[in-house]
Amino acid sequence: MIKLKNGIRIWLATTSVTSFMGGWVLLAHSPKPASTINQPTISVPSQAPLPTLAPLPAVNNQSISVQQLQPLQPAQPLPIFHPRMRTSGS
Amino acid sequence: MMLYHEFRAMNTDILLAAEGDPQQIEAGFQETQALIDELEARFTRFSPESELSQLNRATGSWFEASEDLYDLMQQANTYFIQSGGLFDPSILPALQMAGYDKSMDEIRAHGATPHRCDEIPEKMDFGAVRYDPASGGIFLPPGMQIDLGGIAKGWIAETAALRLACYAKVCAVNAGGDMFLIGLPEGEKAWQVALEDPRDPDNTLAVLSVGPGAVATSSVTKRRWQLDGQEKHHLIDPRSGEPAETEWLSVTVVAPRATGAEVFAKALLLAGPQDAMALASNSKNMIFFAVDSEGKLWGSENSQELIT
Repeated sequence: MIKLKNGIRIWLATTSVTSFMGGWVLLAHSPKPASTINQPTISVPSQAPLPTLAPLPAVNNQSISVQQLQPLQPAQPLPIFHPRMRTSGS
Repeated sequence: MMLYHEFRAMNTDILLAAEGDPQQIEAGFQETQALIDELEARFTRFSPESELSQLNRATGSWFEASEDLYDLMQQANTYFIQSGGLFDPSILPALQMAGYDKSMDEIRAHGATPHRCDEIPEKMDFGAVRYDPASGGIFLPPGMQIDLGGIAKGWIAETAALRLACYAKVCAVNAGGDMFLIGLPEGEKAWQVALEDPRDPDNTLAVLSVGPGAVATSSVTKRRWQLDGQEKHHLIDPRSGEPAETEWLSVTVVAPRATGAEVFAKALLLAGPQDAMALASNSKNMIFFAVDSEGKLWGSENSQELIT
């Protein structure tokens, strides 16, 4: 009877430890929940700092605005003549 | 052939241009110059005899204004509202505090005068000015002082151009970069206007092709002076009461009216890249260009089409 009780105790202890270790190993190797959930819901670009002028087109949907003018300077050389009418502030 | 006439007024260079009979145009130039001199004498704050100085002295009581001053103040009020207060003619005490209490020619010759008071003058509400259309009366709330420097040059350029148009169908008046253009030069589809680099007056950033109407530029690099070891300029930010710290160096506006162009050039310069597009949407038929500290050119919708 004593042997039977001891056998049951040893069996319970062994299966408990084995189950716990098995579960630990399983969880350690399973895919991390955070990596699958975060990707579709968090928009990284919206959190990144925007360039100063980036919001401007959004204000009035004026997508031409600032950024298309910038390349004009190197792309188009100025006319050779110099107009008499000049604007510069005073 | 386009004929030109240059002279100095309003502490800046004035250029008149007109096409037509040379004799007629010469007479037109003389009359237009006389008109500009007369209007400057009425609206300058640097002369105690000017109508504007009389209005400022009458602060706290009703003042019977001329039709022209009444019109100017009404337009100023409209633009004060449209610009959300960024254009505010009641910043005169702050302007004087910054050292701009005499003409720019005098400041350049003798330097700015230091002021004893260090406190920024109390901000007043330009919207509280009252008007009586029946009598042409204007009531400045007690203590309010007006500077029309942000609108009068454009108004005078447009008024003078309309006078010159009595002598020539094609003409223009350019008052230190604020101009009003009437008609189109013979054989041309547009006027050619050079947009100057605010960092280097000898450099042209772009040539704009503009139709009849107005062009005006506001810059923080031109009217500058030293006061108590600090660099100051004439563009007061009504929100702070001090010379503005702007991201852009200059803003040029193309608009139907010279007053609107001049006012919005200043307001957009103050608004800066963050708010300029939203502010520009308050005024229809307006295109603007801005130059940043690196000399790069930026523009509003359709601005690209004006660059030659």
